Amino acid sequence: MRTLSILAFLAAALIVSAAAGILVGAVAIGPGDVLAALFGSNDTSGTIIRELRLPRVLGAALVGGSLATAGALLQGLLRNPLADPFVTGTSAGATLAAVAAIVLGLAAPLVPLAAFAGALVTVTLVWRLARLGGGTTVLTVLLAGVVLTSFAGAVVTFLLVSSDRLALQLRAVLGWLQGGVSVISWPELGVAALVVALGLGFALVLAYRVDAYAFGEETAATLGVDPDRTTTAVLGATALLSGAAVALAGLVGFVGLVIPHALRFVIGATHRRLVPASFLTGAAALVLADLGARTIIAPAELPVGAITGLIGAPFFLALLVRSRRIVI
Amino acid sequence: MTRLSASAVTASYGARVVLRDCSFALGSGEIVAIVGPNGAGKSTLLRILAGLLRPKVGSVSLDGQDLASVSRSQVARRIAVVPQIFDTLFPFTVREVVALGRTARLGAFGRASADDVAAVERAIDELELGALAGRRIDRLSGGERQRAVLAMALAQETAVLLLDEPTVHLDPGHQLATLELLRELARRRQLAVGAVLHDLNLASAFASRIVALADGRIVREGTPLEVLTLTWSGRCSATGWRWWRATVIPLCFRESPRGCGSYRQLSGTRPQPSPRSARKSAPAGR
Repeated sequence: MRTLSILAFLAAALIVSAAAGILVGAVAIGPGDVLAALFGSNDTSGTIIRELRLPRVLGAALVGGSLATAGALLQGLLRNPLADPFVTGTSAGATLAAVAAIVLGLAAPLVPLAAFAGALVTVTLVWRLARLGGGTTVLTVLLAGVVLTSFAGAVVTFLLVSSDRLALQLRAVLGWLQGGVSVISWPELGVAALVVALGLGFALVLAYRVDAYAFGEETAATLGVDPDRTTTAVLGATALLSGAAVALAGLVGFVGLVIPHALRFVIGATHRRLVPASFLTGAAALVLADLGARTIIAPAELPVGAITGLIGAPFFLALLVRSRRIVI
Repeated sequence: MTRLSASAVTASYGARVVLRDCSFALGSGEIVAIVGPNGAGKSTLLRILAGLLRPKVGSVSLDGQDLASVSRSQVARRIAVVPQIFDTLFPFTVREVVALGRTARLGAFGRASADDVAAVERAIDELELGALAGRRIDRLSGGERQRAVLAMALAQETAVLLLDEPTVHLDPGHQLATLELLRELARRRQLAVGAVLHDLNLASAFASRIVALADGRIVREGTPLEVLTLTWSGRCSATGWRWWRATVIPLCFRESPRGCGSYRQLSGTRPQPSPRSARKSAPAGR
């Protein structure tokens, strides 16, 4: 009962944020006109709402929700409150694969697939690296993330500089790399929504098994969780979610880290509750962050990744300082 | 009745062989203590018995079935394991931790049945965790956390319980109370209990049998009296003698929580510790 009321509250918060995201923007449009535009008036404001603001708000919600859910899963699996797709290098791996797909001239619907493949390879690599030392220590995961992020960044730079074909697309790719949800088309949104739904479905089914990892993989096994199969499934769900997020918005940092971490202190650590709550909260948070990104210096725009970095990085630093005694 | 048995098991981590040719049987209603110096292979034997490590040679059978052929979730309904390390950075409550014991039986999306809820409450009562049930596990003392994890294993409601040093974080009062509870469970629920123990005094007081390991081999096995006293009539290898000399003799001159004199206790009447009074006099109770 308590779980349901928490989730209902968070869903309401998401709806309010989305409404704010649609109502507020660089061009002032009254609430009445917005309503009319949603149901198909053909003037300029209708175009702005339907082709710009609505996909943008939905895109931001999908990106924030999937990043936060992926973060919750990764933190639970690695028993590490400082893990998320960005910090572990999963997003960077997905970015590398997506940029490679663009450079190779693959069709647009294949880009999310490439991002998913990149995320899957990276997150599996992080998992393997984290297990090398026996336990999954907080520090190993962060180090693995640093290494993978720098490597992926280097390759992306190489691709961007060396590719003639990208000369025209360079600005778009750069904006995308920094994390922006400004240019999202409906077809793109549809593909991403399907991928996110799949990942979220997996996450909800697996959530209670992630709880069993609280005392490590071995104890999870003695509690009746098949460690190999569950780990593979959780890593797969994480890759689906972070791949979709990267394909939509590029590198958006810290949402996946901060949201589950903060939620745990409010609603507890049980993943059955944490996973859906993370999705709703992450979605609402990124819709609001995007709202900030396009209004703070209007009519110019910041990439939403800049806003999340601005808020998330100090938070991450504070966590790192606080958890130092546990890490070492 | 033999629940869990290992026959002629050899185990290794990579090239390093840690268990050689060990045979071990655990029956309903008995407590078997696994003792031995550090690095003797006690925890490895426990991991083999729990199916967490596959033997290189030999086999483990659970109720007559080859353990390797039983799925993890079926094993979890029949064998519960209390791990040695149980720290977590996440704010799970004690009740949530105990409920983890039901993981193998939960429905889709982790839905708990009435049976699951009842088993969790029973385990909480059995370890007197009622007052702590809503508290965060990462804020508890080591001993309280250990009891919560023990309750988690009890909530699994298995026929076999394996414990890796279950008393290591407990004060003397709670050590006795925990082992007394295990003995009670073994008797009442006909549980088969296998425990790695460091304290030979506790092992001799509570175990129905003791298995002594050294260098990956079982060097002595039998009732506490048989294992901890040196007899020339029984089977006694050179390693067995070295183990006895290195472990049992120093114990006789050591200050132990229940006073010096393992010798006297072993050669005379079996001691009957009273955990109730011991708990009252324990310095670090609740």
